[in-house]
Amino acid sequence: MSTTPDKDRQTAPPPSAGRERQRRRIWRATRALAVGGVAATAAFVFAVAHGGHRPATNIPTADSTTGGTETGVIPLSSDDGSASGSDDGGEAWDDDGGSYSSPSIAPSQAAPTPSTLPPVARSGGS
Amino acid sequence: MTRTWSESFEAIGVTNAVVVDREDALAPGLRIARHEVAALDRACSRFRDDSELAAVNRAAGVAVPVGTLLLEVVEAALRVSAATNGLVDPTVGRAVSALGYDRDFRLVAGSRPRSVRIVPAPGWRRVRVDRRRLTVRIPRGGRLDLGAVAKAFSADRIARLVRAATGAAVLVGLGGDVAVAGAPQGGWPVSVVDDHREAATGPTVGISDGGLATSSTTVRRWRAEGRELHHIVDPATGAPAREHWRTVTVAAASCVDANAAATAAIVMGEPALEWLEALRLAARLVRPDGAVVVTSRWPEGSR
Repeated sequence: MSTTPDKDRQTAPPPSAGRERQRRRIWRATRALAVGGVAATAAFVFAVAHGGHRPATNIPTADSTTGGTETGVIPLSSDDGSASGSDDGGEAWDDDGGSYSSPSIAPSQAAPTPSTLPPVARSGGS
Repeated sequence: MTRTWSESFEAIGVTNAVVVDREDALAPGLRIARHEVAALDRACSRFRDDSELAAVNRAAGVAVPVGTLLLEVVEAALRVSAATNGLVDPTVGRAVSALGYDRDFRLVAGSRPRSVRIVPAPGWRRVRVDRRRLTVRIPRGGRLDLGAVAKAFSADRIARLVRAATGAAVLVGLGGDVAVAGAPQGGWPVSVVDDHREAATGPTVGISDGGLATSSTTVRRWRAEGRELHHIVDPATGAPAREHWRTVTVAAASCVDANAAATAAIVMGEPALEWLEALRLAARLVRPDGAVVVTSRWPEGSR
Protein backbone atom coordinates (compact mmCIF):
# COMPACT_ATOMS: atom_id res chain seq x y z
CA MET A 1 0.00 0.00 0.00
CA SER A 2 1.47 3.23 -1.00
CA THR A 3 1.02 6.26 1.13
CA THR A 4 0.27 9.77 0.09
CA PRO A 5 3.58 11.09 -1.16
CA ASP A 6 5.26 13.80 0.80
CA LYS A 7 4.87 16.08 -2.18
CA ASP A 8 1.17 16.20 -1.38
CA ARG A 9 1.91 17.65 1.95
CA GLN A 10 4.06 20.43 0.71
CA THR A 11 1.06 22.61 0.15
CA ALA A 12 -0.77 21.44 3.26
CA PRO A 13 -0.34 23.11 6.64
CA PRO A 14 3.02 22.43 8.27
CA PRO A 15 3.27 19.08 10.04
CA SER A 16 3.47 20.76 13.41
CA ALA A 17 0.17 22.52 12.80
CA GLY A 18 -1.42 19.24 11.75
CA ARG A 19 -0.15 17.47 14.82
CA GLU A 20 -1.39 20.26 17.01
CA ARG A 21 -4.80 20.11 15.37
CA GLN A 22 -4.90 16.36 15.82
CA ARG A 23 -3.81 16.68 19.43
CA ARG A 24 -6.56 19.19 20.10
CA ARG A 25 -9.15 16.98 18.48
CA ILE A 26 -8.14 14.02 20.56
CA TRP A 27 -8.01 16.15 23.67
CA ARG A 28 -11.54 17.37 23.01
CA ALA A 29 -12.77 13.83 22.38
CA THR A 30 -11.12 12.60 25.56
CA ARG A 31 -12.55 15.45 27.57
CA ALA A 32 -15.93 14.66 26.06
CA LEU A 33 -15.72 11.06 27.12
CA ALA A 34 -15.09 12.15 30.67
CA VAL A 35 -18.08 14.41 30.87
CA GLY A 36 -20.14 12.89 28.10
CA GLY A 37 -23.26 11.82 29.94
CA VAL A 38 -23.61 15.01 31.91
CA ALA A 39 -22.89 17.21 28.93
CA ALA A 40 -25.28 15.29 26.73
CA THR A 41 -28.13 15.49 29.20
CA ALA A 42 -27.55 19.17 29.88
CA ALA A 43 -27.33 20.01 26.20
CA PHE A 44 -30.42 18.00 25.40
CA VAL A 45 -32.40 19.72 28.13
CA PHE A 46 -31.10 23.04 26.85
CA ALA A 47 -32.13 22.23 23.30
CA VAL A 48 -35.62 21.13 24.33
CA ALA A 49 -36.06 24.14 26.60
CA HIS A 50 -35.14 26.43 23.73
CA GLY A 51 -37.46 24.84 21.25
CA GLY A 52 -34.90 22.78 19.44
CA HIS A 53 -36.22 20.14 17.13
CA ARG A 54 -35.83 16.47 17.92
CA PRO A 55 -32.67 14.87 16.69
CA ALA A 56 -33.02 12.58 13.72
CA THR A 57 -33.51 8.99 14.73
CA ASN A 58 -30.66 7.61 12.69
CA ILE A 59 -28.03 9.24 14.88
CA PRO A 60 -29.03 8.15 18.34
CA THR A 61 -28.47 10.66 21.05
CA ALA A 62 -27.08 9.58 24.33
CA ASP A 63 -30.30 10.08 26.20
CA SER A 64 -32.51 8.30 23.69
CA THR A 65 -30.39 5.27 23.09
CA THR A 66 -27.95 4.51 25.78
CA GLY A 67 -29.22 6.13 28.88
CA GLY A 68 -26.98 9.11 28.56
CA THR A 69 -24.00 7.84 30.42
CA GLU A 70 -22.47 5.01 28.51
CA THR A 71 -21.39 6.39 25.20
CA GLY A 72 -18.67 8.84 24.46
CA VAL A 73 -20.72 11.86 23.66
CA ILE A 74 -18.72 14.53 22.00
CA PRO A 75 -20.07 17.91 23.03
CA LEU A 76 -20.16 20.63 20.46
CA SER A 77 -17.61 22.71 22.18
CA SER A 78 -15.52 25.29 20.46
CA ASP A 79 -11.82 25.56 21.04
CA ASP A 80 -12.31 28.08 23.80
CA GLY A 81 -14.46 25.66 25.73
CA SER A 82 -17.80 27.36 25.26
CA ALA A 83 -20.86 25.16 25.21
CA SER A 84 -21.24 25.32 21.48
CA GLY A 85 -19.99 27.47 18.75
CA SER A 86 -20.57 28.14 15.12
CA ASP A 87 -18.07 29.93 13.01
CA ASP A 88 -20.16 33.06 12.93
CA GLY A 89 -20.90 33.19 16.59
CA GLY A 90 -24.30 31.56 16.68
CA GLU A 91 -25.09 28.66 18.92
CA ALA A 92 -27.27 26.66 16.59
CA TRP A 93 -26.31 25.08 13.34
CA ASP A 94 -29.71 25.19 11.80
CA ASP A 95 -32.03 28.08 11.16
CA ASP A 96 -34.80 26.45 13.09
CA GLY A 97 -33.63 27.52 16.48
CA GLY A 98 -32.40 24.05 17.26
CA SER A 99 -28.89 22.73 17.34
CA TYR A 100 -27.04 19.53 16.71
CA SER A 101 -26.33 19.21 20.37
CA SER A 102 -25.09 16.01 21.89
CA PRO A 103 -24.91 13.63 18.99
CA SER A 104 -23.03 10.47 19.69
CA ILE A 105 -21.97 7.35 17.94
CA ALA A 106 -23.81 4.52 19.63
CA PRO A 107 -22.73 0.90 19.82
CA SER A 108 -25.04 -1.80 18.55
CA GLN A 109 -27.13 -3.50 21.21
CA ALA A 110 -25.71 -6.88 20.29
CA ALA A 111 -22.03 -7.04 19.47
CA PRO A 112 -21.06 -8.97 16.35
CA THR A 113 -20.57 -12.68 16.92
CA PRO A 114 -18.16 -15.07 15.26
CA SER A 115 -19.82 -16.90 12.40
CA THR A 116 -18.86 -19.92 10.37
CA LEU A 117 -21.86 -19.67 8.06
CA PRO A 118 -21.41 -18.75 4.41
CA PRO A 119 -21.64 -14.96 4.22
CA VAL A 120 -24.78 -13.43 2.73
CA ALA A 121 -23.18 -10.02 2.25
CA ARG A 122 -19.86 -8.19 2.27
CA SER A 123 -18.84 -5.14 4.19
CA GLY A 124 -15.99 -3.43 2.43
CA GLY A 125 -14.81 -0.13 1.16
CA SER A 126 -16.66 1.42 -1.73
CA MET B 1 -29.36 -22.48 9.41
CA THR B 2 -32.16 -20.14 8.44
CA ARG B 3 -32.77 -20.05 4.71
CA THR B 4 -32.32 -16.68 3.05
CA TRP B 5 -33.19 -15.09 -0.28
CA SER B 6 -31.18 -12.34 -1.85
CA GLU B 7 -30.75 -10.23 -4.92
CA SER B 8 -28.25 -7.57 -5.86
CA PHE B 9 -28.23 -4.69 -8.32
CA GLU B 10 -25.81 -2.07 -9.55
CA ALA B 11 -26.61 1.57 -8.88
CA ILE B 12 -24.92 4.77 -7.69
CA GLY B 13 -21.57 3.31 -8.71
CA VAL B 14 -21.68 0.40 -6.26
CA THR B 15 -23.16 -3.06 -5.80
CA ASN B 16 -26.29 -3.14 -3.65
CA ALA B 17 -27.96 -6.15 -2.04
CA VAL B 18 -31.18 -7.08 -0.29
CA VAL B 19 -31.31 -10.27 1.78
CA VAL B 20 -34.45 -11.49 3.54
CA ASP B 21 -35.47 -14.51 5.57
CA ARG B 22 -38.77 -15.05 3.71
CA GLU B 23 -39.10 -15.70 0.02
CA ASP B 24 -42.23 -13.60 -0.39
CA ALA B 25 -40.42 -10.57 1.05
CA LEU B 26 -37.70 -10.46 -1.60
CA ALA B 27 -39.66 -8.88 -4.45
CA PRO B 28 -41.18 -6.06 -2.39
CA GLY B 29 -37.88 -5.59 -0.59
CA LEU B 30 -36.02 -5.23 -3.84
CA ARG B 31 -38.65 -2.86 -5.17
CA ILE B 32 -38.29 -0.63 -2.12
CA ALA B 33 -34.51 -0.71 -2.34
CA ARG B 34 -34.41 0.22 -6.01
CA HIS B 35 -36.90 3.03 -5.46
CA GLU B 36 -35.00 4.44 -2.48
CA VAL B 37 -31.61 4.23 -4.16
CA ALA B 38 -32.95 6.01 -7.23
CA ALA B 39 -34.42 8.72 -5.00
CA LEU B 40 -31.11 9.03 -3.19
CA ASP B 41 -29.29 9.49 -6.47
CA ARG B 42 -31.68 12.22 -7.62
CA ALA B 43 -31.36 14.04 -4.31
CA CYS B 44 -27.75 13.55 -3.25
CA SER B 45 -25.54 12.78 -6.24
CA ARG B 46 -22.50 15.01 -6.59
CA PHE B 47 -22.13 14.00 -10.23
CA ARG B 48 -25.63 14.61 -11.60
CA ASP B 49 -26.24 18.14 -12.77
CA ASP B 50 -29.95 17.67 -12.12
CA SER B 51 -29.62 16.49 -8.52
CA GLU B 52 -30.84 18.61 -5.65
CA LEU B 53 -27.36 18.55 -4.18
CA ALA B 54 -25.94 19.98 -7.40
CA ALA B 55 -28.40 22.87 -7.11
CA VAL B 56 -27.30 23.50 -3.53
CA ASN B 57 -23.64 23.40 -4.53
CA ARG B 58 -24.19 25.74 -7.47
CA ALA B 59 -25.89 28.28 -5.23
CA ALA B 60 -23.37 28.37 -2.39
CA GLY B 61 -24.20 31.25 -0.09
CA VAL B 62 -27.91 31.13 -0.88
CA ALA B 63 -30.66 29.14 0.87
CA VAL B 64 -31.89 26.59 -1.67
CA PRO B 65 -35.24 24.79 -1.41
CA VAL B 66 -34.75 21.02 -1.15
CA GLY B 67 -36.83 17.91 -0.62
CA THR B 68 -37.11 16.16 2.71
CA LEU B 69 -34.71 13.38 1.71
CA LEU B 70 -31.78 15.70 0.99
CA LEU B 71 -32.60 17.76 4.04
CA GLU B 72 -32.55 14.69 6.26
CA VAL B 73 -29.30 13.44 4.76
CA VAL B 74 -27.66 16.83 5.29
CA GLU B 75 -28.88 16.83 8.89
CA ALA B 76 -27.48 13.34 9.34
CA ALA B 77 -24.16 14.49 7.88
CA LEU B 78 -24.00 17.46 10.26
CA ARG B 79 -24.72 15.25 13.24
CA VAL B 80 -21.98 12.91 12.10
CA SER B 81 -19.65 15.90 11.92
CA ALA B 82 -20.60 16.93 15.44
CA ALA B 83 -20.21 13.39 16.78
CA THR B 84 -16.77 13.02 15.20
CA ASN B 85 -15.64 16.53 16.06
CA GLY B 86 -15.30 17.35 12.39
CA LEU B 87 -13.22 14.36 11.36
CA VAL B 88 -16.06 13.54 8.97
CA ASP B 89 -17.31 16.71 7.30
CA PRO B 90 -19.68 17.05 4.32
CA THR B 91 -18.05 20.30 3.23
CA VAL B 92 -15.10 18.40 1.77
CA GLY B 93 -16.79 18.48 -1.64
CA ARG B 94 -14.48 21.10 -3.11
CA ALA B 95 -11.44 19.47 -1.52
CA VAL B 96 -12.27 16.13 -3.13
CA SER B 97 -12.89 17.77 -6.50
CA ALA B 98 -9.64 19.74 -6.24
CA LEU B 99 -7.81 16.44 -5.81
CA GLY B 100 -9.18 15.32 -9.16
CA TYR B 101 -12.19 13.27 -8.03
CA ASP B 102 -14.66 15.57 -9.74
CA ARG B 103 -16.58 13.08 -11.89
CA ASP B 104 -18.03 9.61 -11.61
CA PHE B 105 -15.11 7.54 -10.36
CA ARG B 106 -15.02 5.32 -13.47
CA LEU B 107 -14.19 8.44 -15.46
CA VAL B 108 -11.59 9.59 -12.94
CA ALA B 109 -9.83 6.22 -12.91
CA GLY B 110 -9.79 5.99 -16.69
CA SER B 111 -8.68 9.52 -17.49
CA ARG B 112 -5.31 11.17 -17.79
CA PRO B 113 -3.97 12.55 -14.54
CA ARG B 114 -4.91 16.15 -13.87
CA SER B 115 -3.33 18.72 -11.68
CA VAL B 116 -4.36 18.70 -8.06
CA ARG B 117 -4.85 21.37 -5.44
CA ILE B 118 -5.17 21.07 -1.69
CA VAL B 119 -8.27 22.87 -0.42
CA PRO B 120 -9.25 22.56 3.25
CA ALA B 121 -12.97 22.17 3.94
CA PRO B 122 -14.75 25.36 5.00
CA GLY B 123 -16.35 23.46 7.87
CA TRP B 124 -19.68 21.84 8.65
CA ARG B 125 -20.63 24.51 11.20
CA ARG B 126 -21.23 26.96 8.38
CA VAL B 127 -23.95 24.85 6.77
CA ARG B 128 -27.46 26.04 7.53
CA VAL B 129 -30.57 23.86 7.46
CA ASP B 130 -34.03 25.35 7.75
CA ARG B 131 -36.57 22.66 8.47
CA ARG B 132 -39.57 24.96 8.28
CA ARG B 133 -38.71 26.39 4.88
CA LEU B 134 -37.03 23.17 3.71
CA THR B 135 -33.86 24.91 2.62
CA VAL B 136 -30.14 24.23 2.82
CA ARG B 137 -27.46 26.89 2.56
CA ILE B 138 -23.76 26.20 2.31
CA PRO B 139 -21.00 28.78 2.69
CA ARG B 140 -19.79 30.67 -0.36
CA GLY B 141 -17.05 28.73 -2.06
CA GLY B 142 -18.16 25.54 -0.34
CA ARG B 143 -19.41 22.32 -1.83
CA LEU B 144 -21.06 19.36 -0.12
CA ASP B 145 -20.09 15.73 -0.63
CA LEU B 146 -22.63 13.49 1.07
CA GLY B 147 -21.32 10.25 -0.44
CA ALA B 148 -20.67 7.95 2.49
CA VAL B 149 -23.27 9.32 4.85
CA ALA B 150 -25.94 9.24 2.15
CA LYS B 151 -25.39 5.57 1.37
CA ALA B 152 -25.43 4.59 5.03
CA PHE B 153 -28.51 6.71 5.67
CA SER B 154 -30.29 5.02 2.80
CA ALA B 155 -29.27 1.53 3.96
CA ASP B 156 -30.77 2.23 7.40
CA ARG B 157 -33.91 3.65 5.83
CA ILE B 158 -34.41 0.79 3.37
CA ALA B 159 -33.95 -1.82 6.09
CA ARG B 160 -36.61 -0.13 8.23
CA LEU B 161 -39.01 0.23 5.30
CA VAL B 162 -38.65 -3.37 4.14
CA ARG B 163 -39.10 -4.67 7.67
CA ALA B 164 -42.22 -2.54 8.12
CA ALA B 165 -43.67 -3.49 4.74
CA THR B 166 -43.02 -7.23 4.86
CA GLY B 167 -42.40 -8.21 8.46
CA ALA B 168 -39.39 -10.19 7.31
CA ALA B 169 -35.93 -9.91 8.78
CA VAL B 170 -33.81 -8.01 6.28
CA LEU B 171 -30.22 -7.08 5.53
CA VAL B 172 -29.51 -4.22 3.15
CA GLY B 173 -26.05 -3.63 1.75
CA LEU B 174 -25.31 -0.50 -0.25
CA GLY B 175 -21.77 -0.58 -1.52
CA GLY B 176 -20.58 -2.51 1.50
CA ASP B 177 -22.46 -0.44 4.06
CA VAL B 178 -24.77 -2.89 5.81
CA ALA B 179 -27.95 -2.22 7.79
CA VAL B 180 -30.18 -4.88 9.30
CA ALA B 181 -33.71 -4.93 10.70
CA GLY B 182 -34.43 -8.22 12.40
CA ALA B 183 -32.07 -11.14 12.05
CA PRO B 184 -32.04 -14.92 11.89
CA GLN B 185 -30.61 -16.95 14.76
CA GLY B 186 -26.90 -16.18 15.05
CA GLY B 187 -27.24 -12.98 13.07
CA TRP B 188 -26.62 -12.25 9.41
CA PRO B 189 -23.23 -13.66 8.40
CA VAL B 190 -21.29 -10.81 6.79
CA SER B 191 -17.81 -11.10 5.36
CA VAL B 192 -15.43 -8.24 6.12
CA VAL B 193 -13.14 -7.25 3.24
CA ASP B 194 -11.13 -4.28 1.98
CA ASP B 195 -13.29 -3.81 -1.11
CA HIS B 196 -16.98 -4.71 -1.19
CA ARG B 197 -16.60 -5.99 -4.77
CA GLU B 198 -13.81 -8.42 -3.86
CA ALA B 199 -14.50 -11.99 -4.84
CA ALA B 200 -12.54 -13.30 -1.87
CA THR B 201 -14.10 -13.36 1.56
CA GLY B 202 -12.58 -12.15 4.77
CA PRO B 203 -13.48 -13.01 8.35
CA THR B 204 -17.19 -13.48 8.85
CA VAL B 205 -19.21 -12.01 11.70
CA GLY B 206 -22.87 -12.38 12.66
CA ILE B 207 -24.78 -9.08 12.75
CA SER B 208 -28.08 -8.98 14.64
CA ASP B 209 -28.93 -5.30 14.82
CA GLY B 210 -27.87 -1.87 13.67
CA GLY B 211 -25.25 -1.57 10.99
CA LEU B 212 -21.81 -2.63 9.89
CA ALA B 213 -19.70 -0.35 7.72
CA THR B 214 -16.20 -0.35 6.31
CA SER B 215 -14.06 2.53 5.16
CA SER B 216 -10.96 1.77 3.18
CA THR B 217 -8.22 3.68 1.45
CA THR B 218 -7.68 0.73 -0.90
CA VAL B 219 -10.67 1.67 -3.04
CA ARG B 220 -11.19 4.75 -5.20
CA ARG B 221 -7.52 5.46 -5.66
CA TRP B 222 -6.20 7.44 -8.57
CA ARG B 223 -3.01 9.09 -9.73
CA ALA B 224 -2.45 12.76 -10.35
CA GLU B 225 0.79 14.66 -10.84
CA GLY B 226 2.71 11.49 -10.19
CA ARG B 227 1.06 10.91 -6.83
CA GLU B 228 -1.34 8.23 -5.72
CA LEU B 229 -4.39 9.63 -4.00
CA HIS B 230 -7.42 8.14 -2.25
CA HIS B 231 -10.90 9.41 -1.55
CA ILE B 232 -10.92 9.74 2.25
CA VAL B 233 -10.00 13.36 2.79
CA ASP B 234 -8.95 14.94 6.05
CA PRO B 235 -11.26 17.98 6.26
CA ALA B 236 -8.67 19.95 8.19
CA THR B 237 -6.06 19.78 5.47
CA GLY B 238 -7.99 18.97 2.30
CA ALA B 239 -5.47 16.21 1.53
CA PRO B 240 -6.09 12.45 1.57
CA ALA B 241 -5.90 11.15 5.12
CA ARG B 242 -2.58 9.63 6.12
CA GLU B 243 -2.76 5.88 5.89
CA HIS B 244 -2.29 4.68 9.44
CA TRP B 245 -5.11 2.24 8.70
CA ARG B 246 -5.95 0.96 5.24
CA THR B 247 -9.34 -0.42 6.28
CA VAL B 248 -11.58 0.06 9.32
CA THR B 249 -14.80 -1.86 9.95
CA VAL B 250 -17.21 -0.85 12.70
CA ALA B 251 -20.50 -2.25 14.01
CA ALA B 252 -22.82 0.32 15.58
CA ALA B 253 -26.45 1.08 16.41
CA SER B 254 -27.06 2.20 12.84
CA CYS B 255 -25.25 2.06 9.54
CA VAL B 256 -24.80 5.85 9.67
CA ASP B 257 -23.08 5.57 13.03
CA ALA B 258 -20.94 2.67 11.87
CA ASN B 259 -19.89 4.53 8.74
CA ALA B 260 -19.14 7.69 10.68
CA ALA B 261 -16.93 5.85 13.14
CA ALA B 262 -15.11 3.90 10.43
CA THR B 263 -14.34 7.00 8.38
CA ALA B 264 -13.40 9.06 11.42
CA ALA B 265 -11.01 6.31 12.49
CA ILE B 266 -9.21 6.43 9.14
CA VAL B 267 -8.77 10.20 9.47
CA MET B 268 -7.86 10.07 13.16
CA GLY B 269 -5.03 7.62 12.64
CA GLU B 270 -3.33 5.75 15.43
CA PRO B 271 -5.45 7.07 18.34
CA ALA B 272 -8.56 5.64 16.68
CA LEU B 273 -8.23 2.28 18.40
CA GLU B 274 -8.50 3.87 21.82
CA TRP B 275 -11.31 6.16 20.66
CA LEU B 276 -13.37 3.27 19.28
CA GLU B 277 -12.78 1.29 22.45
CA ALA B 278 -13.96 4.19 24.60
CA LEU B 279 -17.16 4.38 22.55
CA ARG B 280 -17.70 0.64 23.16
CA LEU B 281 -17.79 0.01 19.45
CA ALA B 282 -16.92 -3.34 17.93
CA ALA B 283 -14.24 -2.55 15.39
CA ARG B 284 -11.58 -4.18 13.25
CA LEU B 285 -8.69 -2.09 11.98
CA VAL B 286 -6.19 -3.16 9.33
CA ARG B 287 -2.78 -1.52 9.05
CA PRO B 288 -1.27 -0.86 5.62
CA ASP B 289 0.92 -3.97 6.02
CA GLY B 290 -2.16 -6.13 6.67
CA ALA B 291 -1.74 -6.43 10.44
CA VAL B 292 -5.13 -6.53 12.15
CA VAL B 293 -6.12 -5.13 15.51
CA VAL B 294 -9.60 -5.27 17.03
CA THR B 295 -11.47 -3.66 19.89
CA SER B 296 -12.68 -5.77 22.79
CA ARG B 297 -16.25 -6.03 21.44
CA TRP B 298 -15.08 -7.48 18.13
CA PRO B 299 -15.25 -11.29 18.15
CA GLU B 300 -11.70 -12.48 18.69
CA GLY B 301 -12.19 -15.50 16.44
CA SER B 302 -13.09 -13.26 13.50
CA ARG B 303 -9.96 -11.21 13.05
